[in-house]
Amino acid sequence: MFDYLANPARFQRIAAVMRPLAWGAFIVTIIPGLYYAFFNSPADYQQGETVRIMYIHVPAAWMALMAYVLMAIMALFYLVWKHPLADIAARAMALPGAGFALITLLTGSLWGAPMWGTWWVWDARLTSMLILLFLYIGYMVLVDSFDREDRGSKAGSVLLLVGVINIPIIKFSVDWWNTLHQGASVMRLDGPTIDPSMLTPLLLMAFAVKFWFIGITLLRMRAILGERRINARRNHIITKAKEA
Amino acid sequence: MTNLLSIQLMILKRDLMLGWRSISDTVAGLSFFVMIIALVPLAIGPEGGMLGLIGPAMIWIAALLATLPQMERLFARDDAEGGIDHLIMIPTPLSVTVLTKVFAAWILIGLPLTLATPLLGMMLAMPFSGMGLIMISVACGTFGLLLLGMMASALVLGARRGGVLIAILVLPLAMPILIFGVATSQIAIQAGDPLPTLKFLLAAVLVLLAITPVATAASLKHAAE
Repeated sequence: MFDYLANPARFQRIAAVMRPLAWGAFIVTIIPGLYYAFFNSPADYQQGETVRIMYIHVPAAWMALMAYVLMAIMALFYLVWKHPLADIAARAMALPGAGFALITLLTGSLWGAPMWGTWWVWDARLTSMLILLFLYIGYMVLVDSFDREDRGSKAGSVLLLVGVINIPIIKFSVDWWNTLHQGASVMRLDGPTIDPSMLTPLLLMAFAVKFWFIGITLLRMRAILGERRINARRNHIITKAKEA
Repeated sequence: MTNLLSIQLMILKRDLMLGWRSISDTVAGLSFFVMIIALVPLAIGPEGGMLGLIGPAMIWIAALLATLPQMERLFARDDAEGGIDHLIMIPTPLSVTVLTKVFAAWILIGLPLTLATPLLGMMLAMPFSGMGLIMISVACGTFGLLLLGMMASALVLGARRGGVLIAILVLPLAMPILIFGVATSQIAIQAGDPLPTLKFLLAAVLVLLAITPVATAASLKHAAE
C-alpha cells in the first residue's frame, strides 16, 4: 500500500479521484450539520443560544489534535521508511492544523466571554491548545528555515515525534496546574453524557471538518508536488543554459 | 567498556576545557541571570512581601531566559570545526556522546545558575529555609532545559535562522519543567511538602532524558549527511 503510493504520479492520479470524493462528503455533512447546529437543535437550558458555538469549537479542537498526531505518524513513515510523500503530507497538514488550533482558541474566547465573563482565562485546556498552536508554529518555521529541503523535512520530522511524545506530559502538567474547563462529555468510557439532539449536529460537523481536512491536505500536497516540479524544471533549464 | 568510558571522559574533559578557555560565556550567562532578577524589583517595586511572593516564579523565568541564548552555541562550535563528523565516528552510540555533552554543558551553564540561586533568593526577599530544595529543583530543571536545548541546537544546524527558532522550539516543550519547577520552589518556601511536585519535575526530566538524546543523535546524523 505504502510502496504503491510512493510513486508521485500514481499518487496524483489516486488523489485526483479522492479529492472530489472528500469535497462531496464535506458538502453532504456540512449542510445538514449546519442546519442542525443552527436551527434544529435545542438551546442549552443554562447557556442559551451560545451553546451553538460548540458545533464549531469542538470539531475544530478535535481536528487540531488529530492533525498533529497524523503529522507525527507521517514523520515516522518519513524517517523510518523514507517515504517521500509522508513528509509532503506532514507539511501539507501543518497549516490547516494550526488554523484549527487558532479557530478553537478564537471560538473558545467568544464562548468564554458570555459564559465565564472573560475573553481569556488561564485554564488548562486553553493553555494546552495555545501550546499546541506554538508547536505547530515551531514545526512550520523549522521546516522552512533550511536551504536544503530534505534537511528541513528531517529536522521537522524529529521535532514532530518528540512533540507528540511530549504532548501527554504537557497536557498532564497543565491540567495539574489549573483547571476550570468542563470535563469530557462525549469521549467517555461510560458513553456520552451529551443529549442526542446535540450529539447529532456535533458529530455531523466533526465529520464535515475531517472531510474538508482530507480535501485540503490532498490539494496542498498537489501544490507542493507541483512546486517541486517547477523548481526541478527551473534548475534543469539553468544547468542546460550554463552548459550551452 | 573501559575504552568507551574513557572516550566519554575525554569528550567531557574536552568540552569542559573548551568551556574554561571561553569562561566569559559562562560569566555572561550568569550575569544575564542576575540582571533579569535585578530588573524585577525595578519593574514591580522594592517591597519585600510582593517580591517574596513572586520570587520563585521569577527565578524560574530568569533561568529559562538565561539558558535560551546559550543553547545556540551548544553544537555551533563543533559544526564550524567539523567536529560533528568525529562525534558520529566515535564507536560509542551517538546518543551517549550527546548525553556526555549535555552533562558538560550543564556544568558550564546550569551549575553556575544553581549556585547563584540562593543569592538571588535573598535579593528577592525569599525565606532562606527552602533554598536547598529550590537549588535541587533548579539543578534538575536546567538539566532538562539543556537536554531540550541540545536537541534544538542539533535540529537547527544549517538553518538560516538560529536564536529565535531555538526559542520557539524549546519553550513549548519546556512547559512541564517550568510548571513543576515553580510549584516545587513555591511549596519549598511555604514550608509545605514539596516532594510530590519535585517527583513530577524529575519525571518530566527523565522522559526528556529518554527521548532527547536519541532525537539529537538523529538530527546530528541528518545534518552531517
